[in-house]
Amino acid sequence: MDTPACEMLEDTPSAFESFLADLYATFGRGPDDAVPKYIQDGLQQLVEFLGVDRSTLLEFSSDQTNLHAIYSYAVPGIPPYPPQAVDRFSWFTNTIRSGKIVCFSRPDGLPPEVWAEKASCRWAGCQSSLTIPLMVDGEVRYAITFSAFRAEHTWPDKLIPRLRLVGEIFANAISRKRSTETTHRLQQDLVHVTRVAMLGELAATLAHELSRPLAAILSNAQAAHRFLTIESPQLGEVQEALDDVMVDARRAAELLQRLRALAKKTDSKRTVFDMNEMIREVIHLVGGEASAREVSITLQFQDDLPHMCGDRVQLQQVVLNFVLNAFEAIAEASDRPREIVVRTRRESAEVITVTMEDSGIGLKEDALQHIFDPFFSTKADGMGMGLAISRSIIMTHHGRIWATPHPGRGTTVSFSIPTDCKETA
Amino acid sequence: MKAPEPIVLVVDDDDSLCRGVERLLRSVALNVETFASAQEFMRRPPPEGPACLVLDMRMPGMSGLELQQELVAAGLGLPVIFLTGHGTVPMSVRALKAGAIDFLQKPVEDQLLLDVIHQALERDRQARVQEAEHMRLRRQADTLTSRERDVFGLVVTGLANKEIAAVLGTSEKTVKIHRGRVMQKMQASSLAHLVRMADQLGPLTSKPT
Repeated sequence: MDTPACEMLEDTPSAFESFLADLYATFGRGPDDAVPKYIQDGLQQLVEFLGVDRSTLLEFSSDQTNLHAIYSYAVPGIPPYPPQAVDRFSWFTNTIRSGKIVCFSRPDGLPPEVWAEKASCRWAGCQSSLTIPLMVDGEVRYAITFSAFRAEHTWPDKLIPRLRLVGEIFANAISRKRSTETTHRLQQDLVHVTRVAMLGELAATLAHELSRPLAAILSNAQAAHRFLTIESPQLGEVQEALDDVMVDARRAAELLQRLRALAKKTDSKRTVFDMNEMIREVIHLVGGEASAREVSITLQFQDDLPHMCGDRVQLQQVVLNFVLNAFEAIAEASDRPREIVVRTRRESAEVITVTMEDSGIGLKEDALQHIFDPFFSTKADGMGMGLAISRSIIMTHHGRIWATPHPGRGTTVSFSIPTDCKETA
Repeated sequence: MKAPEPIVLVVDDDDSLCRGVERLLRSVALNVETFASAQEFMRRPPPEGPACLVLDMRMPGMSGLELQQELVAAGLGLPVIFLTGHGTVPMSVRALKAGAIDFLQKPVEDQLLLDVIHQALERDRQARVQEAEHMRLRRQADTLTSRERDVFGLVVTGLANKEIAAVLGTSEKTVKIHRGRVMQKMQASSLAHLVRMADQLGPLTSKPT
């Protein structure tokens, strides 16, 4: 019994070709995020087009031993694709894995030894089914399957290469999305790891910053206790001590909050923020280190900066990295003022430039060309990732980053970044 | 003359820590003064009575360690207690070598801080007593004549009057008179007492001006 879709395929092959063309265009144009929706829609269109009841995209497990559904569309009233059944359908799985199609118009059409698959079909009420293995990067990693429940269905030979093509468009899109996700995740991990490493470098100064309010709190609390337990308790003193305790506890909490925000592993997140405020926070965080190193930090901020839209934590990491590099450069220089100047500038309504000038040892011309390369470091114990990560962060914000030397008096590093809040990540 | 009250001098660039420590010390009726920097502290005249310094290690400008060294160089041997946010071993070694009483980590327990402060004040008090005693002896020694000074120097080496007379080319009787004046002027009760004084005074060769 032929179905209307197959008749249509026989009669008007161009209808299917235009369906394919649409699909191609959709997948070529859309961002990765839209892939699930396009596949889901595509499966539904295929069901409607072919007049079958269910279409499902299957994926092999990483050990290739079973196939499980990743996207499926079924017309209302039709059972979903059975959940992953390890080893039960070994004939089916092995056949698909070897690159062969599994196709039957009636369950009886299956070979006699394939009893598990047959039983499953009868039980679910599946009359006809077609499963096509799909290749990605030279191996069978997915399959697309169509099933008919309400009536028997035949699968013309002409149909199969076309359906395989559609399936492979789906499979490649998923695979591409996965690999982009993996790359993205690895990059996020690296960004996080280097940020945590930087915080590690700062550990001493952070301990110092935190010990100040804690020391004040302890002294005040103990003083209050003593003022309370003396012969004539002095409540005025106790009150003042408690006021100071509260101020310092908040001071410590604020510091922790800032630290936690920086050390937290976050997905790239775009928020609207004030660039000047963000930089001020970083400078506050390294304040202890700066005074220990006797480096003065001057802020020359443009007041009317446009709001920035981007990943605040990551951009903070770039600034922190700039400052730590400046510290190192200054440590190696002597007989000159030890200073860092941070400037913000509004280039236009949509672009902000941040520059950081240090009075350190400066960079040689050849080093300057490589400082943004991964694993390039002028420091004896440098990992060479700080500026490489900074560059990748600025790149994902569609900005640019560069360094200029001042022979004999340090280096200026800058980044210029569009503020655009329209674009979404 | 009433002895000046002991005082604790706190130098830390963290204003609220200064207030906390100050309050703690006031709660046990200690006199306190706080300073935001080493420079500010150095503008203060040296304390008259027993005193000790509670110093932050890391401060902008002059560090605690540098201030301690300045004081040692200037001959103002005030006992120093270091308070630090994160002290390294080399830092503490340097501080203790330069004569610091202790090296405490922030945050510090009140009892520990107070114990160390009392210990430091006691040490300074004793140093001041010794210093005063030394000054008194010095003043007494300054009243000796040149010949009495010679006799003093020889008596404490254990020579008998006759031997001293031989060395100085004078009579035993004259030496005896000088010796009596030395004992009297130095308010020495015995030869042993005089020997102790000589030890404390050091060589008496330089003439008073």
